[in-house]
Amino acid sequence: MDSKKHTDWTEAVRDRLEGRELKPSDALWGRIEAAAPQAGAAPKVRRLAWGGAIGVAAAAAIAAVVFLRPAGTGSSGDVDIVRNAVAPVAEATVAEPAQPAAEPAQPAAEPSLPVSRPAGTLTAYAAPTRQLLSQEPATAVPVEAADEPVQTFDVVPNEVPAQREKSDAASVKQTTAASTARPATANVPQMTMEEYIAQENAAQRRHRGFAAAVYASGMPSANITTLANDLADRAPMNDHLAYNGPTPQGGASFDSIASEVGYTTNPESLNGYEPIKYTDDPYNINGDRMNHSKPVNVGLALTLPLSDHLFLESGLYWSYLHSSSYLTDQSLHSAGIPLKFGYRFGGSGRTSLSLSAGAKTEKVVYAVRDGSRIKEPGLQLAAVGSAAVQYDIAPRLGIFLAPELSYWFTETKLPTYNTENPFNLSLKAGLNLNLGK
Amino acid sequence: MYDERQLSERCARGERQACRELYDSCAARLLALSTRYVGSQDAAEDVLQEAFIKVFSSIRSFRYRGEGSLYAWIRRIVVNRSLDWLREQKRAGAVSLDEARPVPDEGVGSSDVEVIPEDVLARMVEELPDGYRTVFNLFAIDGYSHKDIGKMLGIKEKTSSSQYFRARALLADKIKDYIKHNG
Repeated sequence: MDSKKHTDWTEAVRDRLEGRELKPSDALWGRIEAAAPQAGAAPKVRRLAWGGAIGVAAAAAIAAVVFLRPAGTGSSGDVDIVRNAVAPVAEATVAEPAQPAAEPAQPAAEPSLPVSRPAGTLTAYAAPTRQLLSQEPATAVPVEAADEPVQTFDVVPNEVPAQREKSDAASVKQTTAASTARPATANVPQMTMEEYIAQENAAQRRHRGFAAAVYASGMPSANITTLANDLADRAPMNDHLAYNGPTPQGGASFDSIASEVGYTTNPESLNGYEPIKYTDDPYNINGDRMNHSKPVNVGLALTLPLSDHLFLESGLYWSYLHSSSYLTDQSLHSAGIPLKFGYRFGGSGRTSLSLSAGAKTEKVVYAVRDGSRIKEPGLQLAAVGSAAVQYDIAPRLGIFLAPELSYWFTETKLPTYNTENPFNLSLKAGLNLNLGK
Repeated sequence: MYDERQLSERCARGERQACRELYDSCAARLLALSTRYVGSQDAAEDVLQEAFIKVFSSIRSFRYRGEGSLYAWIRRIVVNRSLDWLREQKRAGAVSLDEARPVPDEGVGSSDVEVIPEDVLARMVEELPDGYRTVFNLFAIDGYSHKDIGKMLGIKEKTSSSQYFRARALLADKIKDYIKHNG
């Protein structure tokens, strides 16, 4: 007899009925087994295939951008980071559980869900069951369930482990009228429906709700250095040097040229470089090097779910680009709007993974160089792709980390990190708040 | 105790033995659960058959969230299939007007419930009118909120609430009647 105190008598009813058992007819398992092979093509498999295809395509797009990157632009560390971020995603997406070797191929045009079904008839739902229940050899695997009042059935002999045979015969019978004890299901893992429903609802909110995120992105210690003359076309004040030497073998990055030349004002040590005429630069020092910091962004992202997995992401961000040399200092402040489509993979528990790709546009709203405002008309346009991992720290709140790769199709007049290296890898981190019901 | 994570993974890999183990481990409880909803064991077996086909075909989409989550997931599928069956029979949702009546004073306590044999108590629930029984099962036993029940059955939250109170009044009558004659 359950001695639990109840605040309401219906709780006692629940306790009595929740774990009740009824012995199914011996034929039921056979009916399930027989019905399963008639299943048609699986909608679930199709959805998985679509999801996998989109995921692979997004991963391939990011990988292609990385591997097609021209030699000598940017540090190799960027590429490594992207490779590391992308490879596991691609592998996880294409991996499929091994199927039994003897399984025949599924007819492609087999019907999926039954459109209508007369009452009392049973129609199987999906093809995977055919694979699940058909050709697998029935190797007995012991079940750690000595105390579990699991009923034994005679449909498949010899597959019930010995432990079960020891269980009390009374426990396999239907609960009798005289029985007042709790159903012997105490050892079966229990999760109340309230807990499960709460988890389900939380998961659905997490994946389906309209969400807003605040984030910051950047990539520290990845500045790029350019020689002043490399900026000549864009910045007359840096029009100090022209390269007239032989083409460096294997291609030359700005860094290698800078290293080759060194920071010097001595034209004789320029090794192929020679000073050109002074134009309008008040600081006429040859070999001035300019350091371009990677952009730092902060922004607000809004995510609109389009389906269980697909989503549209946009928002507004502010971007800061800083460059400096021994002689000059410039800052660009831009406002940008990204627009991306994404696919969210169901993660385990609180973790989820998403891939997204799209475009972003930026407008310089404030540019200053050595204290003077400089106009930067026009919009800048870039393609962008990212992979994000989110961990939910509360039902509606998650933290995320997202490596993001962008490629700039246009450039500003002023030299910046983006003009010198159109590929830009950054790491975005932020908080994601789900605003769904 | 079986390991739900391993069992679900083995089922997802297509191991027939694992599917059978999963079935064996919970079919009896799920049959009782479905019978409580649909009111007859024969119908409940049909429901269970469909539910297990659904389980095996969708097991790859199951996300393990701790011990008990697999059973809770299957249980939810069985509840949904039971409701589908009732809909097909046009037996879910609101009860007809002649079934509606004022809520009487219940006068039943937990101790009254505990002396009633389990199968008798189950039969009392199964004999409730379909609409009452559905709401009572969903709310009192399976822990759904009236809001969720409203969505599941396509009725208003208030309707679910009022049907629940009428269901418990009817059940209280049955309990009192049983105690009067057997107590």
